[in-house]
Amino acid sequence: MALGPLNELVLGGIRFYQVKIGTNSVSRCPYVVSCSAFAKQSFTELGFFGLPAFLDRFFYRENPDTFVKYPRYVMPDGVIRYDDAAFHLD
Amino acid sequence: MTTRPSTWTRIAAAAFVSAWAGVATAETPETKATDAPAAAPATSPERTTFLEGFAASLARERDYYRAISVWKELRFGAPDPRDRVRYSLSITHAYRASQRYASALSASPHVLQSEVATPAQRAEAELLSGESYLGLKIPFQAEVHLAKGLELSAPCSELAARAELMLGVARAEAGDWPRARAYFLRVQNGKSSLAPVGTDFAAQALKAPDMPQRSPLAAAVLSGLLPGAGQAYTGHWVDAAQAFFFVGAFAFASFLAYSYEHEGGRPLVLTSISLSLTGIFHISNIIGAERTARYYNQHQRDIYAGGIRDRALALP
Repeated sequence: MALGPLNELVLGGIRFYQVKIGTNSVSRCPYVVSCSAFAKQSFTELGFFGLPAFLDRFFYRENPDTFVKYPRYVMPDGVIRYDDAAFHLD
Repeated sequence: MTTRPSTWTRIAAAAFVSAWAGVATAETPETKATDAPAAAPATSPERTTFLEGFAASLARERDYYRAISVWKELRFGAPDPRDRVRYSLSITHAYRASQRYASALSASPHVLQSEVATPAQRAEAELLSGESYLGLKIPFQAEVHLAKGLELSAPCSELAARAELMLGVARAEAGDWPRARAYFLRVQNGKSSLAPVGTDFAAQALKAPDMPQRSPLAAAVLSGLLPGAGQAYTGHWVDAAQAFFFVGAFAFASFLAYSYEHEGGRPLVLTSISLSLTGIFHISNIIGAERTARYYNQHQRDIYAGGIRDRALALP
């Protein structure tokens, strides 16, 4: 379900976060595809249903279990991230 | 009256000063080694034979990094391009054996792009590239090189059997168990030393459908009936608790809002807002349960195929 102009507004908000807020704050998202990048792609691909997909990632999936359930990766900058197969599930 | 030094005295003085200056600026052995221009490579056949034996001995002792240094030195000084290909192949082997897969992939083109490499050397380099891609968990890229390696290797050879085994591993990683088993059976039915491994892997491929799986549809239905139940079904208990808490909290807030607005005869504005939030979070919970089940299945397959891959890559 496409959101039309609202989709642009949401994507603009995400872009603003990524450029102005995310880069100027500490790295909080534990995943290898960051939550803002996940939200951006979810809204682009799923329209309205990008919102529940993002809420699932942000509110349910991100918890202390992350460090046990998902494979860990050390990024080139040394930061440890976890891969919840955000976009490459079969 | 002053006397002028004789010619012989001047020569002696000059020789003394020159000798003293030489001592004062003499290089230590270390500085000599680094500052002196590079010496011509020792190309005597005896030394080459000695270094080749030394590198092979280091590799047998699994001292791969030192072996690679010796092979690189030999390659640097080898005038014959066929020797350089041989050393490059040894270097690729050593990187692959030491699990430095990316380095192996950067070394193999020295063989693959050489015009003097034999088909057997090319086949081996393709196989090593394929194995390195498997080590990097890129099975689709691995298959391209392994297929080329199989094509170039002599039929029914050890190399061909190894290529087929690795192709089976790549198929297993992709979740294509029937084709993986077909490759393993071909290795089993061949006459190579890998036949017992083929038998073992074929048996494992046959058992692959028995690995634990969770139905994404069942997970979604369960979470639809009770928030978090689908996540719990796939073993993600904390996700389940959070889903239950969030949906439950919004549902309770909706109930309170409705009670407040209904009793006061007010328009159900707050109730509508909180019900919408409850609905969105409930849909999130259902989508999450379905995703979690699919992730669970993929993870189980990765564990199962990963076990086969690790055993295959540990083969000598």
